[in-house]
Amino acid sequence: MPDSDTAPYWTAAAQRILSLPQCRACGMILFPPKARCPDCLHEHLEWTVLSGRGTLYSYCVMHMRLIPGFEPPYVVGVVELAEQAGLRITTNLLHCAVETVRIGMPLEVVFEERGEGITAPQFQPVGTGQAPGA
Amino acid sequence: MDPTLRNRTAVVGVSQTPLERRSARSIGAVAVEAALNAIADAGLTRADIDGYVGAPAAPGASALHADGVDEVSAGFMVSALGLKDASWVTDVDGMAGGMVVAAVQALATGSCRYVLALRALYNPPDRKYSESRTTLAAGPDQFTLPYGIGPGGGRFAQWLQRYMYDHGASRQALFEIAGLAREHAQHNPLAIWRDAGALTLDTYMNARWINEPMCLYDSDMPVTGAAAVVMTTAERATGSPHRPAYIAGYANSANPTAVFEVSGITRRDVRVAQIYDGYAPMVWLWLERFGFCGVGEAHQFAAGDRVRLGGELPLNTFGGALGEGRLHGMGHVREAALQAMGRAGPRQVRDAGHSLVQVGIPERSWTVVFSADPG
Repeated sequence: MPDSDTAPYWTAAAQRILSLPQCRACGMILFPPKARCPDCLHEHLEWTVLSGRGTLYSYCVMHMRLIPGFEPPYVVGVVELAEQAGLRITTNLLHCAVETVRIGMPLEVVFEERGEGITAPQFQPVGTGQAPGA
Repeated sequence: MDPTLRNRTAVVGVSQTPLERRSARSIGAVAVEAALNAIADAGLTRADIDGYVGAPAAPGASALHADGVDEVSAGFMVSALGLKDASWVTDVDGMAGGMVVAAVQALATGSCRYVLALRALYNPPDRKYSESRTTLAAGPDQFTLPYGIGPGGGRFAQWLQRYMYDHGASRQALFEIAGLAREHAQHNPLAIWRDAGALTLDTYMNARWINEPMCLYDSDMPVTGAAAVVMTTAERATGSPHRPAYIAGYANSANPTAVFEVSGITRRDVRVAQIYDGYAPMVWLWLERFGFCGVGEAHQFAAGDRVRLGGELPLNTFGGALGEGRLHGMGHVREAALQAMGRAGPRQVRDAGHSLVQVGIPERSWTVVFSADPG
């Protein structure tokens, strides 16, 4: 459920755009979205559109059925976005068999409709045939 | 911590209830039992207790967060124990080390004379501990739960996966943590795994995955039970039936190594350490953060005799949470105090002059050093 700091993230995702707030003073991109830059404490943030490219920083394979809608085994990865070292977000890996998952593999964003108006940014290996962002 | 607080306060009473995977008892019943036993262990009566600190948060994803059902708040306990004259009453977040820290501050400022610090856990018999009912989430969970990862072990599995990639660590090396826990648990009459015997590498490597690359034995078992300590000032502690465990110093997760300086010791003075092991890889993480070994070396450091009873840095001498059960760090606090008091029985480390305990997750953690000698 979005709050006033995070709502633009989900609104952009619904329009198939990956966007995060960037500090206008120091340039740091913030995730999760925050009201103010935690580094320089500047309050002027600008939502910036990201390339949706990154690499797989790490992942795990979930083997228990604990969360509705997720059939084990499934992969939960952490993608490091191309724009900034250490800028990492949680994702599933779409169009990617569990045994082919490798740390460092290049990924690109896709958007997954979840119903009730929610669209979740997701990632897939680059060049899986699926149009990026689609 | 200001060094003037060094050894100004002490643990003088310790207790823990039996731990049960599923219990017919209420959380209130086990909490009150732990409280009364800790007060008696300190040679005190209820009338002496004028301070209370708890850490009530139920950590499971399916928790109801209901007072007296799966949590006990400070208000609940003050009422349940009839602490009518308590002058200092508070709750801290779920990490047990924070209770000791808050109690030091309350005692040092004269807010009260005797503090009861209590942590109780409840494993619901009617639902899965880590089950989420929905993927709708608020706060930080809005970026994880929609991807099928709850607040439990998944992120430590991801940490482990990256650690193995960066440092060439193996699951055979991680077995050392789980194996050590089960070995030490055999000397702890309260441990849930006491009678299960040693864990073999073969059993470990063939165990089912939970959050791969973490298996069943890399997570602690949810239990119902409670543990408590009674703390007071160093002056009052001299009249206690047991040798006190003085609080030499504490530090939080922002700068964990500060704990050595404020305690007036070096790393080498630590004779025994209880490191939070709700998930096995966390032990590696903290050994490196404290500088007991270099970054990327913990998987080699925490192996063999070095970290066992009789070794140079015995770890989780009570079996850790992996061997004892998930008291969310209160087992660690209890054992660290018992070691400094010289009361750890068959697990006692000789000359356990400085006994370290760390409880918590990377971004939210407290470390406390207990000392046997107020100096």
